[in-house]
Amino acid sequence: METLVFFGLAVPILVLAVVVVTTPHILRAVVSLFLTLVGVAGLFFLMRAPILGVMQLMIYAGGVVVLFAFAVMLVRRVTGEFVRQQTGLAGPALVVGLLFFVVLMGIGSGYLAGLEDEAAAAGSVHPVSRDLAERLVLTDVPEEIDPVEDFSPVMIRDYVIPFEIASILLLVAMIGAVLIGHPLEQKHPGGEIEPEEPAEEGEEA
Amino acid sequence: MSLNDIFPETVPTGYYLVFAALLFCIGLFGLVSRRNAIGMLLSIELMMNAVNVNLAAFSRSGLEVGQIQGQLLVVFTVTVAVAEAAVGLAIIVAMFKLRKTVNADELNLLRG
Repeated sequence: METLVFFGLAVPILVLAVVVVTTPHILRAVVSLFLTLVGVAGLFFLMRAPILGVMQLMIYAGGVVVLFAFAVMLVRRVTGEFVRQQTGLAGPALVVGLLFFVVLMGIGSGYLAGLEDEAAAAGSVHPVSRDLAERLVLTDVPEEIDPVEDFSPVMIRDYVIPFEIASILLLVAMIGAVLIGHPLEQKHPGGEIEPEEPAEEGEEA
Repeated sequence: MSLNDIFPETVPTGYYLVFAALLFCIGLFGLVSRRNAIGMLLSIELMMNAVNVNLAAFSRSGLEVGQIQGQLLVVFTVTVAVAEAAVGLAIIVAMFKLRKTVNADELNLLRG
């Protein structure tokens, strides 16, 4: 039953992801990315990680996609349908993607086979690897934990230093984005900058 | 009523791993084949999401009750991804103001 829900989310996500990387219209790609991120949030809920699901919806679907949409509109003159969006390298890119998928699957199945061999060789199975291997293939319900209640002590108490460092990273990124994005005209007065807007603005999605 | 009552048996972690690998490879394809810098950033976001799905899936198949360090790692990767998206888009917009293009083939300011 839950597997049905999983496939009902995963298949549209993958289709929309293909749309993201192949559509010639960049704003359509942004909308597809939005739907992809919402679907991944649904997967997080399905994985009993509701905090991650809410965070995905708030930060990614609410923040990053809006940021992308604004960036696309700011540079829209070169992102319309009349501009070629792909390099001529779709074939090699496809080969790279497929090869990487094969490598990932090979690593994963090799790891599983190694675990099984180890379990077969040693009479006493290493409990960690046996448990992990079982969880990878079996479909038992995870233990009843409260994801919200268990989350806060780990984040605020045990990992408080990385938490604070993450806030510093966000502050630095914000300052950097403002510095890079805004006062370009004052910093490079001799640069090739025309302040007036590009002429054709009527290209609508 | 918790999710465990609605769904008496859950999805194997391996399904999530295969899904995340597919999503990552789609993002990789987009990163190589896109010509537009914004499109490349979109593909990078796809790949970041695939990694997050992986981390959360492994966290779900954790070994002890209440062991959710994997989910915590997702919080930090999302932080880094958001910072990267913000700075990357700022760079793209600044580059557009400077060069009137976001085509990755034409961005050669660092060429010696």
